Amino acid sequence: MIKIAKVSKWYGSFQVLKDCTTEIAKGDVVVICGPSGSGKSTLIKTINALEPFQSGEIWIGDTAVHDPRTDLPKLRSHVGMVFQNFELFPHLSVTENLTLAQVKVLGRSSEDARERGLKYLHRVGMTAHQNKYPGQLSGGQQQRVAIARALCMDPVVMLFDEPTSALDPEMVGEVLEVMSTLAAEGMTMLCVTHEMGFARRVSNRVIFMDQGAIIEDCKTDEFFRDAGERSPRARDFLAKIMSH
Amino acid sequence: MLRTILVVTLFSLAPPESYGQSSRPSTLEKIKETETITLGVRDSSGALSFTTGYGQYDGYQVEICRRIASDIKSRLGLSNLKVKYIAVSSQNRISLVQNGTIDLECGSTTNTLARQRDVAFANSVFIEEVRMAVRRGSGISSIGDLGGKTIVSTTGSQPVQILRARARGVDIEFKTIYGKDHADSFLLLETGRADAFVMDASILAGNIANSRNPGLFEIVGEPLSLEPIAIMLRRDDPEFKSVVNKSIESLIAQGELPRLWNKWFLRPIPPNGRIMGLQLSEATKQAWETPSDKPAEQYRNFSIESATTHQGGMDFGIFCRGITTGRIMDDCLGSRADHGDTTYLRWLLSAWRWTLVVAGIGFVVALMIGLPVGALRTVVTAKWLAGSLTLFTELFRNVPILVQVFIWYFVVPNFISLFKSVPAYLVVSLGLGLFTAARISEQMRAGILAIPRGQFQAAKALGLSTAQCYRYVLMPVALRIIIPPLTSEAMNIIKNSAVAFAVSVPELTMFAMQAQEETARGLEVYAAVTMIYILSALSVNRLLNFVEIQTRIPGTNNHSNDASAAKAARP
Amino acid sequence: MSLDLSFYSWQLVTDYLAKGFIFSLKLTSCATLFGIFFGVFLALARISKFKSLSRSAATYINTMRAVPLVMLILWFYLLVPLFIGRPIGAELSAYLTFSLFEAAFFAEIIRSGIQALPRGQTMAGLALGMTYRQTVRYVILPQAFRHTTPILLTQVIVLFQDTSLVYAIGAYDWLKGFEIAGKNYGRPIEAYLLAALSYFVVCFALSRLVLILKNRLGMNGASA
Repeated sequence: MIKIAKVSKWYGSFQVLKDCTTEIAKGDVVVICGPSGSGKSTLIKTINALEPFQSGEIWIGDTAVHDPRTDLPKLRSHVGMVFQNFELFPHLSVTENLTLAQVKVLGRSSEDARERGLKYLHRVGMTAHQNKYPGQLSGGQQQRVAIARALCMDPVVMLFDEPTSALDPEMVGEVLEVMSTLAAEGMTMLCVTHEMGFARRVSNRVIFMDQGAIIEDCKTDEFFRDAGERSPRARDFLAKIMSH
Repeated sequence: MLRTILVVTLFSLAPPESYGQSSRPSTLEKIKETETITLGVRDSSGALSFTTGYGQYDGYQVEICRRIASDIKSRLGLSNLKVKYIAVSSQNRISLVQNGTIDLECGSTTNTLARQRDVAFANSVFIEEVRMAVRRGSGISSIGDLGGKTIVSTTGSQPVQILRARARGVDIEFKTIYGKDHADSFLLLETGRADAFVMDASILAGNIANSRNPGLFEIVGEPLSLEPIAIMLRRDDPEFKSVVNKSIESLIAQGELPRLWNKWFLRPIPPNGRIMGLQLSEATKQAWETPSDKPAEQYRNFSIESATTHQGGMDFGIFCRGITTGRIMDDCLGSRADHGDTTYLRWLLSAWRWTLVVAGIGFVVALMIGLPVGALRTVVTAKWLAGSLTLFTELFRNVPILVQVFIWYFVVPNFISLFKSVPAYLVVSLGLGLFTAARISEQMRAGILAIPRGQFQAAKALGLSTAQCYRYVLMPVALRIIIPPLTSEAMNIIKNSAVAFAVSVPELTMFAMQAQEETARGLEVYAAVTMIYILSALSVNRLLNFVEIQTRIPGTNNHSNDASAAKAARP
Repeated sequence: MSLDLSFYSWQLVTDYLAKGFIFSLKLTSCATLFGIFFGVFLALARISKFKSLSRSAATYINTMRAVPLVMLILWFYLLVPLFIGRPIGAELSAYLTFSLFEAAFFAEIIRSGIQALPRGQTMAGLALGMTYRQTVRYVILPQAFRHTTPILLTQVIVLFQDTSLVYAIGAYDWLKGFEIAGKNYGRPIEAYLLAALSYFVVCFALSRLVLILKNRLGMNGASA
């Protein structure tokens, strides 16, 4: 469903992505991990064209992300994204956050949008807060609303950029739980995260990146079980992570 | 802020020394001690007194003063006498004589009873006729033709009050605007904003002679009044006055005056060799034969009482005096009963209204232009467009507001004649608005840039187009962020509206200067005007604070984890 | 209507403009120096714990900021001689007015610079055993100045533009020079155009310098 072919990106003379190539099939739950600065967030943001790239191709279904003629807003409306800093719109209530894009981008009526919003709000367990403002919610609550906001657009794939990194430890669980349920329901997901427990339990593929290149790209159990056969850098990384 | 008002009130209620009555050394003593005589001169008063550049002054009156100075030098037996020149204006010349900054005022001041309460006058050697300058072919030849027209005169000068009195006499309605100095007033006539310039004939002649095309103008109309122009000096110093008059007597005796008249009024004069072309009038010839310091009232057959009073200390009752009659009126707010005479209080209130109108329109213009431009500057990538928007902003930020107003008022109508018919206050509002728009666009830009990039990305990730992102996500937050700087700008524009006075919009500052000159009650007038400015600024501040509270995003006061909400809460 | 370009001559500069420009410069420098000096004390007074001190400072600052500069100029010119019993020239009056006026604005800028610093800085200074005064002198003020230098400099440019307001009392500044020249030669239009251009060139150049300085200090684009 998503094809990433030889994608490279430079910031000035510094190359942040080196010839990244992979394919995501429908229903895949892929975790992207690696040390900081490895380009994970950058890679995930090239998929919905939030980050431009200089060479390579990215296809979502039949749409070419790299093609300058592509209608990007339209493309993005079918790709859901959840950010590290939640990025809810502070001046809008929870409900308004959920309905804004539905009405303005997908052209749904306000009633339909509201209904759908409440439905997803229920799924993430935040119905009671529908009229509150983001400033009045905790981090975990905000992130769950952010997930609902993305889901309201009925995306074909959900991209997560370190969704729990900005959360206090006791709130990480509630967000991961929502994500697990989503995966179990068959949503295609791409997740940049440090939560290896989550990776092991929920994902079916792991991509390991280091210094802008994809080093490992294999099934989850292969990655964790046959650790010995993995590349030195991956082993190194695993050793550091697993000691927590 | 209430404290501020209290302080200013208390401050201005403190009784000052009464005008010009302290026990000071006599002028001659001061001159002898400092070996300096200070002459007050004008920068551009026809051929009576003007500057030829680089601190040099000359003219009929100035030369006479120099002669007086040299007589004083011999009389006091000084080996050295430095002559110092200080430029004065219609607005401050009397104060400067009163407080001793200048010893002799050698400009174009009319000797009047009212002024004689503040200063003394030497014998007059120049009798001025107040007449009108008009554009040739305008069909105006006397005061009777002025119905419905616009007259210009210079703030703080005598002809203004004469005109008012005359107009009352013949029941003519016309509009009066004020130039801040004579050349300004003439410019208003030249550019068509006024139909007639009423002023002393010598000043009219001088400005016409100096203009680009003198043949376009003519001096018409019966002399509205005869004005004895005389050198001003300190009031309570009879010794000095007699010395000065003796000096003038000897000039007359030596037959110098007709020679001086020819030199300054009938032959080419600096800086560019123009000729005034003013003939010696009967009245002036008579004054040379029998010199006196008769005030103008004795030359006239009508009276204008001035509103000047001389009670010691503060007299806020000044505001209830009529501006033409000087009498205290029953209705302090000035009803229209008495032939349209009105009180200073009513004038003050009208001036306040003008200030608010100019500032208000200006602010609206500023918002309508500044906000979009500021937002655009954060989004355009095309170099030429970004460059021109930046240029626009830089242009209006880097030229003083006063200069900008002059450009819109005088220069632009020259090239775009459409502007000539735009009323003065709109022109000023436009200039003010553009000046403020540039600053607002900077603040809008900063406000948007203060929002974390993540917000923009989140909005884009949902599929919103760039325009939608701005409209629904960025602008609402940015606008709230910039309410404090916008409040500042709103208060600033009220203050900056004061420059409207320079192009004869009758707002508060112009009122302050004109009323101060007319009533000689500077403290009261300034205090009232200052109070009103402070009040206006305070009200705007409160109003916008209220707006800020009403539009505050709920939840921005708590300690929240949301990074962008926290940023939005910070002013 | 076309322009009379013969008006623009070098003689124009020497006869009318140089004198005014020099005065504007002197006025700006004097008001800046005094304004910053006095402004620091005002700012510190404003944030001091002693209510009377902070309230007086606030009153002073708010008064200066609420009243149009033109009015202040008129006030000082009228009042000072009456209170001290001696005459005062327009130029001296202008120096006084502008210095006191700018002090209020600089005080606000410095104050916001000080308050933008994390409280931890003051605490760290005190924890090391420094007195409050030392902490202010060696820790707080240097940082506050570094952060606010671009804003202070921008205020100086505004001040330079504001000097044109001394026309109200007849002082001979740069704008007055243009005006007088224009009027005495009968070419006001050409004079005003030149005035606008001249001010633009000077102020624009200065604001570009401030931008370069901002970049050097590494603060461009960063929110506070």
